Amino acid sequence: MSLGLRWASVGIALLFVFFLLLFEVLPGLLLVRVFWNEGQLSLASWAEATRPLFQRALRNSFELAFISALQGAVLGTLTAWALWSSANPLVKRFTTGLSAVAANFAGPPLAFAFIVLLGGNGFFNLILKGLGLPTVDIYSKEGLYWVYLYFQWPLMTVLMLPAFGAIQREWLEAARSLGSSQWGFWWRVGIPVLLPSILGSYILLFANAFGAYATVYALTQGQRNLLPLQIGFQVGGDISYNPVLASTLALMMALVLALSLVLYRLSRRWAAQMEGA
Amino acid sequence: MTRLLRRLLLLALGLYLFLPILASLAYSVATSWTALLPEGYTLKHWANLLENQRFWLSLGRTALLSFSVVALSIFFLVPTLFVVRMYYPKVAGVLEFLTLWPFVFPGVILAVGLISLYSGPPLQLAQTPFLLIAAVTVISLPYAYRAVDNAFAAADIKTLAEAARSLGADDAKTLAWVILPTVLPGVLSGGVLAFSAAFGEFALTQLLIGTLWETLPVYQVQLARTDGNGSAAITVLSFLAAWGLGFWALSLRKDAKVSVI
Repeated sequence: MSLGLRWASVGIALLFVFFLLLFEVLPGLLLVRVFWNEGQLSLASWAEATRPLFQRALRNSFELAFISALQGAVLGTLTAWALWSSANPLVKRFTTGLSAVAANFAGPPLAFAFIVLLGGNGFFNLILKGLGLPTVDIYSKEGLYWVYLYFQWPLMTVLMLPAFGAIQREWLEAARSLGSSQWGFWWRVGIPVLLPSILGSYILLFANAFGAYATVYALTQGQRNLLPLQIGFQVGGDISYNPVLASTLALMMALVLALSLVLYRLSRRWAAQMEGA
Repeated sequence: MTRLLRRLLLLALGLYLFLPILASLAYSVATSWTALLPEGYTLKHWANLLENQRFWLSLGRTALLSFSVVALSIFFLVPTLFVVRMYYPKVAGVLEFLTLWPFVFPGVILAVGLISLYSGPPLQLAQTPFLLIAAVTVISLPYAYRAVDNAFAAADIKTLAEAARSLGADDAKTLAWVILPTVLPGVLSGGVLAFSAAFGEFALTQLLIGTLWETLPVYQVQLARTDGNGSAAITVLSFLAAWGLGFWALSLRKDAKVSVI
């Protein structure tokens, strides 16, 4: 390569690194300033951030992420199995594509679409009422699970497909011909092979729900005690601008997400070992 | 039994993904809707929306934001990945680490840091579209990076460049006629994904600039307070945009990976 092309590219690459420093790394690293108070090491901001209100926000976020990831993981794993065992390539491709796209869809449009379905006069609630069944309150805690499932379910489906791909159909046939039942095969071979991927994908779903802001904000106008909303409230509201408190809460959230990332990476490594074994 | 369960699952997922959109579509053309099906149908809500200047302005800002993010992403990523793959493969790990950053520092957290950093001198960028464009570029980076990186990995550009050179092509020719055309579908796919992510971005927009520079999702939240039918029309448009872009991006590549880490 001529020097000109090469060094022009190097120049842009360095510019890119500088851009990332300014708008990605520094804003992230700035969060550790919460340990300083007027030049002194201090934990004052932690005292503020661990008030009962914020403890509850952390607990609520944790519960929401834990349960919504569990729902998505169960349904998504089953759906990935259904796709794996389906012989129709068209169904497979269409569902996979649809899931990949829907997994990234969130925010105000999603929230309002669910209000049309499950709001006070929502289409589904009218059906439930007509059948004499209890209706769903979209603005309740359970209502949020219904909305989050919209991206959690397809996300798990797409994440689990490669793991199912590692299971050869011939294994199942071999096990059957040796007298094992279908359940026996899944119990002894299938699930152990899938387990690392299930755990890893579950962690991604957990982090996905834990950090979600846009959907729940649009659904409740920010009136819910969850960690991301509390953080936004401390910097976005004209009423309360408290950057140090916001940074402390943000640091809490970042720690949970960083831990998720580490666990995810470990599970990937474990999955690679299982598939290589 | 197995077949029944399989069909039920796929049908349930399909219904779950399509019903909210169909309901929004119905609501956006309904006169009133208190029984199981709307009483009557009208295009009034769509007409109102399309005559509304605020809607067009917010759509224009969203388009401007998305195009800027794509331009910036491609401008940075293509030369960077080219140089890293070609000459400095050891640096790839650092680059990947930097693209994982938004996983740990998502929109809400990034906004906290950016507001503190750029609210005063030397760089007073807070509450300007420039800061928003930079921030959204960072957040959508994982998608664009993954697609462009895969394109370069699959192309094996080192071998391509050597082959082109041995056939007598000079460097500019090699880049323009061999390397860029090979990675183009992947780059395009990454660009479309980044566009889609920027188009729907809400958290950063709301916290960094809010109603000062209203984008479509921010406007939708405002509109939903007074006009549910108009908001449903925006929902339909957003779905169409996201699904159209998503399927387009998928058609440009062989795998349907959604995970960016």
